[in-house]
Amino acid sequence: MRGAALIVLAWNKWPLTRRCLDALLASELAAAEVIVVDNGSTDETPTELVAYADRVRIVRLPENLGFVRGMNAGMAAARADDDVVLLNNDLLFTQVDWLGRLRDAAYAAPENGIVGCRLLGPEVEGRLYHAGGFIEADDLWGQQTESGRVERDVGQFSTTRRAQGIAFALAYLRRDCLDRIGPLDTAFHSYFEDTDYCLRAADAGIASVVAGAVTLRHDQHGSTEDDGGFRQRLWQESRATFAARWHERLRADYRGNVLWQGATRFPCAYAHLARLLVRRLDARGLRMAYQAVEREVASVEDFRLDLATRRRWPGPADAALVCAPGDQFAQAQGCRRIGLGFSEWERVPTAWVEASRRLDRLLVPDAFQQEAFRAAGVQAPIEIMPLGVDGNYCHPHVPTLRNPRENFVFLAVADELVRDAPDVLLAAFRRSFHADEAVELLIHVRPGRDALSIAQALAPLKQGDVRVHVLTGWAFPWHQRAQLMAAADAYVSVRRGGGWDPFAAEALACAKILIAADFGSQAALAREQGVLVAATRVDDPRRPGLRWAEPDRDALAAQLRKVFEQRTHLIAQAHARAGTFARTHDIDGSADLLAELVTCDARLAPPRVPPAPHRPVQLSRPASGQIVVLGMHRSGTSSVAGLLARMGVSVGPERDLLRGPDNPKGHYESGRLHMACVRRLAAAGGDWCNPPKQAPAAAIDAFRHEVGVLIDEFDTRRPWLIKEPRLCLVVRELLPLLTRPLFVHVVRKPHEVVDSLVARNELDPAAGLALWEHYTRAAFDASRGWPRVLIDYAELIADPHTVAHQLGEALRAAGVEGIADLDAKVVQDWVEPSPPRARAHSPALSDAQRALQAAIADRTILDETPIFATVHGTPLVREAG
Amino acid sequence: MNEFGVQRLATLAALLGTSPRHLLVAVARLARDEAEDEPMRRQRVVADARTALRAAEAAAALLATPVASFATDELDRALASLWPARSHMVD
Repeated sequence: MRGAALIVLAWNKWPLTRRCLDALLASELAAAEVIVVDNGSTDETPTELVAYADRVRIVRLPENLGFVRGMNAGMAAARADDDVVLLNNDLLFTQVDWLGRLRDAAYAAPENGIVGCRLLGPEVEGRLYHAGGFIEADDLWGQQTESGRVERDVGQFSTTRRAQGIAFALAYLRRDCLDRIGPLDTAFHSYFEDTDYCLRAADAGIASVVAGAVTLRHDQHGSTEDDGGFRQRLWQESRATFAARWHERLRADYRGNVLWQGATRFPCAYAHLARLLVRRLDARGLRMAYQAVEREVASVEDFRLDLATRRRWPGPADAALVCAPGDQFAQAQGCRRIGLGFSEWERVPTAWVEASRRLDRLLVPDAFQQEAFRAAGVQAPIEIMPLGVDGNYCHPHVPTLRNPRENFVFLAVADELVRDAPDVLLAAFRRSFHADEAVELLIHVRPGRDALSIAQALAPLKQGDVRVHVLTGWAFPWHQRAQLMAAADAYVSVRRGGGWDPFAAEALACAKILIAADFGSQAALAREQGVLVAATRVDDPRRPGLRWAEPDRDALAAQLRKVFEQRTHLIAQAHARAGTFARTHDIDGSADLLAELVTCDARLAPPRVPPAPHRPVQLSRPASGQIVVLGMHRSGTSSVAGLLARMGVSVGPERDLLRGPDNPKGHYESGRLHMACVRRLAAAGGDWCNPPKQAPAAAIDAFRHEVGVLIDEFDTRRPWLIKEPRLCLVVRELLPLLTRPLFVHVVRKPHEVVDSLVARNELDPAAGLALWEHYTRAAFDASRGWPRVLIDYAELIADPHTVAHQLGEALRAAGVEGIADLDAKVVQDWVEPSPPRARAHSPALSDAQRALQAAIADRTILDETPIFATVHGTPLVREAG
Repeated sequence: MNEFGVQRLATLAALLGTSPRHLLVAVARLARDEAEDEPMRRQRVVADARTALRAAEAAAALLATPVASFATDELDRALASLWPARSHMVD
């Protein structure tokens, strides 16, 4: 079983090292070896380490060689096939399964070579110092988070995601990444080596990812000592080295200058967009500058937005993006001018139509807004650009302070009294519920010009009702906004104005119930996934002639009541939909589209073509002789496994092999592996014919542990194979255990598989077909990027000797040793056709299933990798090029 | 200062990216410091005038912005103050 070398670098500060080691050794370290590199310590470290010698390997260096050389010494000492984890000695392992979760992230995709994690600082309340960062191109200031700020830990970035750079205070490096990139570059002493490594890896198509499931504590700079400027000098030298290598290259990634003209405070929805999109456009190669359309003190809670407020160029920008109410479109100052706006009314004012003449293109978030501009006579092309949510911050698991009585909480946010109608909501709430019902209303009045008016209007309506909370005079960091949503159960966006409300979509991503007026930007969302409240078109009293909608007060009261009464069902529904909603309404998708439009309109150079993704199969190291046979039940995997056994591949102890009436000649399948797979699916609430979609981490760990023991045993005699149809579903979880494995896929025509399943298991043919598709897709997806062979059962039956011969050739070509060429008679005696079965009335294949079958037939399912062996003129094995 | 002078001052201030009042203040300061050579002094005056304008504009903008929007606090403090009994942290 392949392990991991956990390399702890220590230089003096023994108490810190001891704290780190004690916590590390108390965590779950399956198949890991701890290597402590003593970087020439002169304190008690060398003597105290002796007490740990039975649990850790100690590498002593004669003097302090710095971070880079110290870590390289640790990597050189690691076992040849181990992955490597670089660890600072000022880390505290507050999560016992940290290593398992890092491995999950490392092997979640073939290109994931470098894995970091979320790192909190020492503060009691939890502050996020690192979650994968980036380096800005102007002055080369490395940022540790996407916002460039130390934020409160609000559960942000809790999924596995790519980042430009990982801090090597903790870095999991896959062995194939090390094989490709090598050790840390000794041109650096102690700083910038991590960013340099990640950038070099990116050039090789290797992804740096952050495992959001791992959160550890890191006392920043605890492991180094300040000696009156020495550290500063090291930093400056490393920065100069880094700049010489990367500065021009990073600058060249900027493709044009774009001026964002908008707001960072008011109106709030436009400020929200500036915070969401300026940073993302900058990351997409558009050098962003920011200019306020009205006087403001910019609210910059984001590094890139802050940078944009300070940037200026001689001459006009290549493009201007005016994200503001339509009367500001006239301010657009760029060679190409794009507006991004929305209306509170069903037709925008005449002044907006006039101002929009300056635009080359107008973007709106939805069809309502498109019609509002079009109906008023705006001439510029109007396109819909859906505005998504930031799922890194808005998701169902945001930690928050919940109502202690566990009452159902409605939440509304008010910026303007007349537009947002919080008074209407408060009155409806009080009409809807009796004093003794377990329900509360929270209205957050955001700081702004109308805050006082709103508070004054609501006070008399509240009448001392303790169920109603009006939160005024508070402003929070923007990154905490989802905590407010998480404190509620339903979000109410029942307003007179029809403008885009960012909280509506964020509520759905946070698994909250959305209640919105049947007017404006939120109506379509509420119709599809929430609750609608009827509204009547009326004139805006402040703007005669402009029509918006008065919420029907009876309807609002009735819907509040209905939501409360159906809360259990609606909350469950919201949770079931949240993940899909966030994926299909992703703000990064909006940013991609916007960047593409700007690139097109301003005729900017397209983004640099990314390198081909890294694949482990690209490395020249030979396959180790660990063979995994993958195939759906009834696909002929036993026939192929039997052939391999005859070629000299070990299948484990005879006593352990399964035998059954449906395959009297033997399955070549380990009984222990079979039971491990059965238990793994059961632990996730499924079985072979009801594959679970997700598994608890504990189920994966238990499975990995169980199979790990088996692999250790098998490894005493290579080459070996493991085979179990359920592996199609779960083999990805075993990748961290395997050393340069090779996958043999066995495929069979779907109708033959279904016929066999119907005969053996009395499965419904349609269900059987769906299972064939699910298993097949999962298997090929799991082996993507690794050496793999495809055997078509029909071809094997038609010409057993040729296929067997070429299978052996393919294994030898991949580097598997000890593969014998089989005599024709041995093959003929073993491979015999399955008896013909009565055809079940299988349903026709769906388009997707037909496409899958075609991809198997022409071997394009193995694409990404070139051919190095064929059977009957079709590719048999491919490797990357 | 006559009308022509006012116009010239306004034009010069606009060219330098400052306001007439700040330009006058800067020039008055210029008279006090005779140690520097002339080009350096001029550069410093212009820089001072521009800085003063930015500070004045920022101060004006600050006045137009609600105080509460600067008094940012942690959200959990607000929630703790809202819920009448002890709250519990969940995720």
